[in-house]
Amino acid sequence: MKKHSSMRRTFAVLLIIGLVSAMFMALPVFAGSDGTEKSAQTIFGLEDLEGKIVGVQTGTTGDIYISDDAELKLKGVERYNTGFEAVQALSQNKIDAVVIDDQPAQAFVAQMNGLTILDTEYVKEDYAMAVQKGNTELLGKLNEAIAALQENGTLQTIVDYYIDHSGEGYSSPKGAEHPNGKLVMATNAEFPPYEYYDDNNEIVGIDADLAMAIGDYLGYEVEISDMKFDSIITSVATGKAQFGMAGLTVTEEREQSIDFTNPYYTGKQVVIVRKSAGAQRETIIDRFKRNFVQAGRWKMLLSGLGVTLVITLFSTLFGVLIGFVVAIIRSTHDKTGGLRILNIIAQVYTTVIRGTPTVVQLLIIYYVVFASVNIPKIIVAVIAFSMNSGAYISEIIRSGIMSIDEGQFEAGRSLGFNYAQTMRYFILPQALKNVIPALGNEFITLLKETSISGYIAINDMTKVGDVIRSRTYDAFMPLVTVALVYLLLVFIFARLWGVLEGRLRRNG
Amino acid sequence: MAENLFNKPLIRVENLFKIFGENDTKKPTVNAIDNVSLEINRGDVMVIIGPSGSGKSTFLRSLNLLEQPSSGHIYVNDVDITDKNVDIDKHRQKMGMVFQHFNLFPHLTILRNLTIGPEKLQGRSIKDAEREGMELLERVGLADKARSYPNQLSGGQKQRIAIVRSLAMHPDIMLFDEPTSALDPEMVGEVLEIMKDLARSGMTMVCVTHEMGFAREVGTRILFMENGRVTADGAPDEFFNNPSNPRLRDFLSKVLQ
Repeated sequence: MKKHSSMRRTFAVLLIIGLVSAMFMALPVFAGSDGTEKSAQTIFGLEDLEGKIVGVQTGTTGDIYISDDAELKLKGVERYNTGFEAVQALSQNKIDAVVIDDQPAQAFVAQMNGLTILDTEYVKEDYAMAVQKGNTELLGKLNEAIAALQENGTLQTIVDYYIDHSGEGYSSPKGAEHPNGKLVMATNAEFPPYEYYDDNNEIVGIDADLAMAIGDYLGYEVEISDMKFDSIITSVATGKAQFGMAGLTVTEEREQSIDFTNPYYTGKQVVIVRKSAGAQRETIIDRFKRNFVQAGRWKMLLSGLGVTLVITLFSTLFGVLIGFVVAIIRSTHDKTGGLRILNIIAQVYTTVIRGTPTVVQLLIIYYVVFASVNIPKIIVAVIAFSMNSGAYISEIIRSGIMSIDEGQFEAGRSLGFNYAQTMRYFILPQALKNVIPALGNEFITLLKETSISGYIAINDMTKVGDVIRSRTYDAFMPLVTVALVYLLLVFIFARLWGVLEGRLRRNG
Repeated sequence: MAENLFNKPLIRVENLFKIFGENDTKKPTVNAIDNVSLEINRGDVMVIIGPSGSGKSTFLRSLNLLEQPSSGHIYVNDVDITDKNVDIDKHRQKMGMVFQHFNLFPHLTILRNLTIGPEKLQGRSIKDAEREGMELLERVGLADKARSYPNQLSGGQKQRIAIVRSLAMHPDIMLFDEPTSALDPEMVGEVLEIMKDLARSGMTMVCVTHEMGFAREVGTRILFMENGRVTADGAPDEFFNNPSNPRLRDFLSKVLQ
């Protein structure tokens, strides 16, 4: 009887989840048809931007120029993490124009209906590679390689391939050797045609191929590390990456932190505006296929899910260990007055961790603590999330210990158990049982918190959703799918945890 | 056991003080125990009475150092347990304590409450500890509750379990801190019966209680405490029938009404 009703409840919850997601699916269809009717072209030149809102990608040249540009008399500037997000906001009528590099602009306009590029360019700029300040040896080599590749036509071959879609492009010569080791290239692979993921899940583009050619020329293997655009300079400055290459324009501000090579390409910043209606119609199923079935992108999602689960599980494990130790230290101090120094350390730890954003902790651990150490990013994430979770778990366990009646402690001690034995046999078993619900909650929080792993270029589930979005130019399907997967995980976990709780409660 | 051991007191208390608020200069200090010296002999059933706040419980709890005395000495079998180098946990094993609120371990079965001490502290086998645990449960008529958990028991049953939990450690002395104060009236009797049995079996006992009938019937020695001092100390007969201390007379007239 009881089993029956609980099954019915599970079914009801799943039904609600299904209905909500169906509602979500229906939503953008209306929004799209609604939005497209109003949008006819109103901006034909730079002077028409007066009183408009312009979108840019944070930290790009467009951002730097437009933010200082008083002449345009803009109403405002919206900053997005990727150029694609900015273009998408434009097509959804959220902003009026996007300032972006010429080449990606061409790609976006070609892929999305209803957009056009203004004839007048906004600015012209030189692209160069960034290296750590003072690394003159590498700088010299890179300059030499750039000059040589310009000379022998390799650079032109690459540009022709990606921009005019002509020729074979560049591939490493047979038997290319890399005796000089490895160079890590920091980039932001959301920037076609300079760097982006192709359908084989590999980062390609003008910069990527040029970097490879430079590596082949200099005898280095090149490893590409994909990260947020605004992290590239930091990565290079801290030595996480040996060079940065992402359509980087030479600016004085950037030259404070890093050194630039000679320019290898001259690009333009252009303005994209809305032209006319033209939202494409496709069924939900086509859309699903385009996002997940094409190019086997579901595999990416699956591997992202794996990464998310690995980070969450290990962080929980170590978080509980840390939390346990810290809780024991703090409550031992509270009860006996001992462990004074350790208690101070524990208090500082919980205060700092609870008082700073998790993202900031993650970035500090990656870029500051492990700045000069080469360890896998997943381990960095596990360390960051363990430390973060440990602080919260320690407070949970401590509150559990404090909630146990002092009489339990006295009963244990009066029988002749020492402090540690009393804790182990009587206080902790009861305390842990009391905090089981709170620990489950912490696990759920942590699972969702790992979604910020993308900040240090880890391809967790959220990041993968974002990558798919940048390739299919569809925000809705990947993001909602990722959200549903999280929801499902939390739902399953909450059910399992509920069973555990129930079992413990029955045992006295 | 050697004869001379019996002649010596089991516990000797010398100039015991417990001062609360010593480290807080803002509040006046309170002498919860104010210079108490006494001896407890084997087989004594000492009952401590007195108005609330007189220091009875504090004194009892300092006998096994659940309260750390401010100064003075407590000798158990001639060993000064207030000495920092003495392993107090060893001595506590031999000093059973029963609390007002039972303090059974709610996450353990009744039988496990009885066996965990002997097994973990005295190195006895589980089988051996369980056999004796069952005997003790028989003795207090609760053998059928062996597999139950404390929250399935009534207050009186819990306190009977708490008593045998201490007895399972084979203590030399049993300390009772108002063992019937938290019980419903109809359950007081069953707990007092066990305590009386225990007294008759020759167990050394110190008991803080308001049960004057119990004090009179099984007490071999009654202490009256007020303001942290012992102001009367004698056999029950003269104590109850012929009290010389006027405040004791006053106290008895109130509680014996």
